[in-house]
Amino acid sequence: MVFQDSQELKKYLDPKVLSKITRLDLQARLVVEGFISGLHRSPFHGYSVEFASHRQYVPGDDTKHIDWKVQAKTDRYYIKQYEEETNLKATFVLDASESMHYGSENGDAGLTKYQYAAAVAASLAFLLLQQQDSTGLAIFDEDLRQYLPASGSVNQIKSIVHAMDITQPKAKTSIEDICHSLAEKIPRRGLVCLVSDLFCDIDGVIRGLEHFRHYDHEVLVLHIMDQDELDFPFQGNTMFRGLEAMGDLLVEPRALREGYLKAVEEFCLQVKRRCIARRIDYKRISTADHMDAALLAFLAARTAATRKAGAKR
Amino acid sequence: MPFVHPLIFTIGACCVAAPIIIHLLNRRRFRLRHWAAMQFLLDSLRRNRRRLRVEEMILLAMRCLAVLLLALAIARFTGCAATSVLPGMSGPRATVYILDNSYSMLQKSAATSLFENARHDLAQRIRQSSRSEKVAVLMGADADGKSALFDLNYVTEPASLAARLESLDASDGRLALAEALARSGKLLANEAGARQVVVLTDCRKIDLAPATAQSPLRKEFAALRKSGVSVEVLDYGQESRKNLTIESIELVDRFAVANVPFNVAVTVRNNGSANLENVALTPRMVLPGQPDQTVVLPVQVIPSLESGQSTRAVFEVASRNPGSAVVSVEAAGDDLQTDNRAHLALDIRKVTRVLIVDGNTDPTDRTESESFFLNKVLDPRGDGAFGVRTDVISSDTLGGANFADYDAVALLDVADFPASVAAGPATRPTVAYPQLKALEEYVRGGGGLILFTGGHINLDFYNGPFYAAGAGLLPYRVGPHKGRPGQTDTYVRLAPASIANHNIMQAFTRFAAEGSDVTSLVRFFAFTPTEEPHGVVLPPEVKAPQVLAAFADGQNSPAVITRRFGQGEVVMFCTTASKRWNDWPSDEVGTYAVIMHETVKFVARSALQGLTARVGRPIDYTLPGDLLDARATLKTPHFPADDLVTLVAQRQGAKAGHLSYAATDAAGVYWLELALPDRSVKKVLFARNIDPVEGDLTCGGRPSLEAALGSGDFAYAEKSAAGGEAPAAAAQKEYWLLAALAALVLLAGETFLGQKFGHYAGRKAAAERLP
Repeated sequence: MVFQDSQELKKYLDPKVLSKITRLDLQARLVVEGFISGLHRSPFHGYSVEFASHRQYVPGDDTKHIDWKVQAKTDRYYIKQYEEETNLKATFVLDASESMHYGSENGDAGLTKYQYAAAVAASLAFLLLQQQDSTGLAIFDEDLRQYLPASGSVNQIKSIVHAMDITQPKAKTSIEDICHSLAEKIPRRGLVCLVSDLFCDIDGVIRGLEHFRHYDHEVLVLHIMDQDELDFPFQGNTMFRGLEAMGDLLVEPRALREGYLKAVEEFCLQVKRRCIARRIDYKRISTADHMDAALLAFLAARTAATRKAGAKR
Repeated sequence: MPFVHPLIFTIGACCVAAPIIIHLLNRRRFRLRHWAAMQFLLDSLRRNRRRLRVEEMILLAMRCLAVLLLALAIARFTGCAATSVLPGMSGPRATVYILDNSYSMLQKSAATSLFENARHDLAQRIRQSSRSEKVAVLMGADADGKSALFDLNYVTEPASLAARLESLDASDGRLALAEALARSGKLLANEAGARQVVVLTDCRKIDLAPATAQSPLRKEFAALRKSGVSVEVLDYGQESRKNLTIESIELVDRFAVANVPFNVAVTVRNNGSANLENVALTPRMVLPGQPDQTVVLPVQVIPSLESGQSTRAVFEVASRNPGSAVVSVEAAGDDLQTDNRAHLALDIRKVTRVLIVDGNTDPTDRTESESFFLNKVLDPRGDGAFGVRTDVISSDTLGGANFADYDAVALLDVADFPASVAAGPATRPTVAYPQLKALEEYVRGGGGLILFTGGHINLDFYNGPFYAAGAGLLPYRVGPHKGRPGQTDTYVRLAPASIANHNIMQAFTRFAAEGSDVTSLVRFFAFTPTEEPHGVVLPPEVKAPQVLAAFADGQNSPAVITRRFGQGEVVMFCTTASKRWNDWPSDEVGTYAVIMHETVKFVARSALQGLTARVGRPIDYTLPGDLLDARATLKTPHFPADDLVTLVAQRQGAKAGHLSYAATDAAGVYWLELALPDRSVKKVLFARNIDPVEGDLTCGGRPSLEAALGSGDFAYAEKSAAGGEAPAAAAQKEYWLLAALAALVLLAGETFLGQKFGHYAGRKAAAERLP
C-alpha cells in the first residue's frame, strides 16, 4: 500500500476512520505512518544515532542530512544514513477487563475502549519496532491473559496484534496484582505503558505502578475513557447495568449528570496527582481523541526516558 | 361551582393525577444501557439521593398544579373568596341589587313583562358574577327589606339563586326606593373594597316624585355616594297606551244591612295615553254564607274615559243574608292587569243595633217618654224589620251599658253621666266619669253618637267634661234653652237656606229640589242654643263641627251639628227627640223618620273596620268570647299555591281575643276561617288592594331620576325593548386568563427548574452533545 500524500495518512489518526479498518496490524501501521508524516514540525526527531553509509540525495530528502563535507570533496549531494540502535524495552500492559468492552453506541466512532487501547498499543509497538526497540505486551483482566516478553524481532508485532485480537474483555479487573506480577517478570528496566480505564481500586493501581517504579521502570499510564463516560450525555429513564458485576441502577441520568461528572473529574484528578507524585506519566485519552494524542504522550515519555538514560551514561 | 363549565373543571381536576401517573409509568419505561463507570454513578447517586427526591417532588407538584391551573382556565374559573386577595382583582367586591318588584313592573312588554326582563337580567348577572364578590338582592317594593331575597354574602350556588330569581313574582306593593337605598347603605357600610348598588326599575315618574331637597331619596343617595358606593340604574320603563287603574272601591254607606240595598262606588282612572270608550267594569260578589260561590253582577259601562281622567261609577248591591261578603270589580285587560282589580270586604249586618238612652222616661205613659218617637221610627215592631234594632234604657241605668254591643248610641235629654268622686292631691275631690270615657273610646273607635237636648240636660256637665274645651264629644258649648216648651204659638222653623247638602238632611233637600219647602211643616217651640267656639285648638283626631241646619231665629242658631271624633261620628240635634219642644215627629211628610234613619246610617259603626285596606296593612280581628276556642286559619289570595296560615289568638281577658296577620303583601281576598269545636265554621273575609298610584306608568327616565336623586352621579342604562337596546350583561369577571398565565409561568418555572436540577437537557447541554 503506497500513500502518496501525508495529509491522506493523517486521517487515520481519527478513530472514526480507524474504526473502519478491521485489521489491527494495519491500523497500527496506518496510525504510525500518519503520525510520522505529521512530525515535520515536531521536536521529536534524531533518536537513532549509529552512522551506517551514504546514499545519493534525491529530491524530497531532508537537506539537514546532507553530508556537506562529501559535497565539498565530490561536488555531489549525499545523505548520511544511520543504523538505528535498540536501547529501549517497552512493555504495554493492556487492560482487557469487561469495563473496557464499553464503547459509545452513538456516533460513528464504533471503537470500544479495548479496541481503542489495543489500537494505541499496537501503534506504539509498531512504532517502537520500526525503531528497532524491543516491545512486549501483557494483556490482563483478573489474571494475566497474555504475556509477550519484550523483543525486537520482526515478527513481534504480529504476535502482539494476534494476542490482542484473540482476547475478549469479559472479566473483572485486578491491576494491582497484575502489576506486582509483571514487575517481577520484566527483568530489565524499561518503559512500562499501562493502557486501562483504571476502573478499580485506585490505591491498588498506584501500589502496582509503584512496584514498577521500584525497579526503575519508566511508567506511562494511558487512561482510556469513552467520551460517554466523560460527558454522560444520556436522557430519559435509563437502567444502567454495570459491567464487571456492578449491579443495576434505574435513574434519570440528567439528574445525576452533574454529580457524575464531578466524581469522574475528582477521580481523574486524583489519579493524575498521585501519578505525578510518583513520577509516573499520565495521560487521559478519550476514545473520541485522535490517535496522535496517545502517540505524542508516549513520545514525550520516551524522550524523558532517553534523556534520563543519557544522563546516567 | 365557580366555573362557567364545571364539568370541564371536574375532568381537569381528575387530570391532576396525570403527571403522577405519567411519572409512575415512566419508571416502568426505561432504556437498558451497559455501563462501565458504575462506581461514579453510584457515588453521584449516594450524594444526591435526598436532593433528587425533593427536586422530583417539587417538579411533580408544579406539573400537577399546572394541570390544575389549565383546568381552571379552560373551565373559565370565575373566582372564589381567595381570589379577592390577588392584586389587581379589586373589582366590585360587594354589590347590592335592588330589584323593583312593584306591580308596575308587571307591565306587558311583548310576550313578557318588564319584571320578567329585569329578573332575567339579574339572574344573568348573578350567574356571571365573580365568586369573590358579595351579593345581596333586595326587593324594591319591600319598604323595610324584611323579605330580602338574598342577604349580602358570597354566592356559592349562583345557579340556585338565579333559579330562585327566575321563579320570583312581582309583589302588589309600591316601589320604596329610598328605603331600599337606605338598607343597601347599611349592608355595604362595613364592606371593604369596591361597592356598588344596582337598581333594576322602571323609573316611573310617580315613584321619583316629589323631587325635593329634603326627600329621603336624595338623602339616601347622597349618603351612598358620600360613602363611596357607586350606583347603577337599569331603566326598564315603557310608556303605556292603554292602562286602566281602579283607584278605589268603597261602600257609599257606612254599613250594609241584609235585605237592604247598599251602594258601592268604584273610581276608575285612565292612566294610558289613549282615550277610551265604553269601559266595562265587571262586578262580582262573594255572598255571605256562600263563600265558595261568586255571583257576577251586571256589568257597569263607563261611556268614555279620557286619558288622565278619573270617573266614579256607583252600583247597587243587595244581599239576603247577613255575614261576611266581598264585592270585586274588574276592568277589561290592558297593559297592566294588576291595577284592574279591586275588592271590597263587607260585614253585612242583620240589623243595626242602636242604644237609646232616655233621660226623661215616663213609666206610666210610654208615649210621654223622650224615646218614644225615635224608637218607633227606627224599630216600629221591635224586631229589626226595618234594619235597625233598638234597645231603650233609662239614663239611670247608663252606668251599666256596654256601648261596644251597639253600632250607635243615642242620648235623649240625658242630664249627665254617673260620676265617681275620689280624693285629689290638693284636698279637692276629683270627679271622674268612667262611662263618659267609655263613650269617648267607643266613638273614637268608630261608634256613632246621636245627641238630643232637652230640659233636663246639666249645663255644667255638658259644657264641662262633655265639651272638654272642644276636645270632648259635645260639638259646641250649650246654653239654657230658648223658647217656651208647651207654648205652641211661638216657635221657630229651620232656615231653608241653612240646610246642608248632606245625606242626613236629604229629606229636606230632596223636597227643596222639587220646589217644596217642607221645613215649614216643622215647628220648634224651644231649642238649645249653642255657642260656636273661637280660638279652640282641637286635637288631631277631632274635626271641626259642621252645621247641617240652623234655626230661623234671627241668629241662625245651629239646629243640627255634626263632627268627626276619631273614627266615629257625632250628630247633635239642638232640640228634643220627642214632641216636648217641637212637632217634628208628627210632621206630615215624615221627614223625622227619614232623617232619623239617615242619621243612624251616618253615625253607625262602619262595616269597613279594617276589612278592606291597602296591601301591607295587617289584618286585625277581635275575637268575641264565643269564638275564643275557635281554630283560626287564613287563606291568602295565593291559596292554594300558598299554604294555609294558622293564626293564634292573643287573649284579651276572659271574654275576648285578638287575631293578627301582618304579611298582607298580596292584593286580593283573605279568608279567615274560625272552626269551632262543634265543627261549625265562621268565615270572615278581608280585602287588600293595590296602591293605585303605582298604576301611573308615566316614564321618568334619566331626567326624573336625576331630579329625584339630586345628582347625575350614577350610571344609567335604558333596558326597554322599545329602546332597542339589548340588555348588556355585566362584564364577566373571569380568571381564566390569569389561570392560563399562571399555568404557563408554572410550566416555564418547571422547565427551568428541571434544567436547573438536571432533569432536563438544556439547550447548552444538548448543543454540547452535537458533533
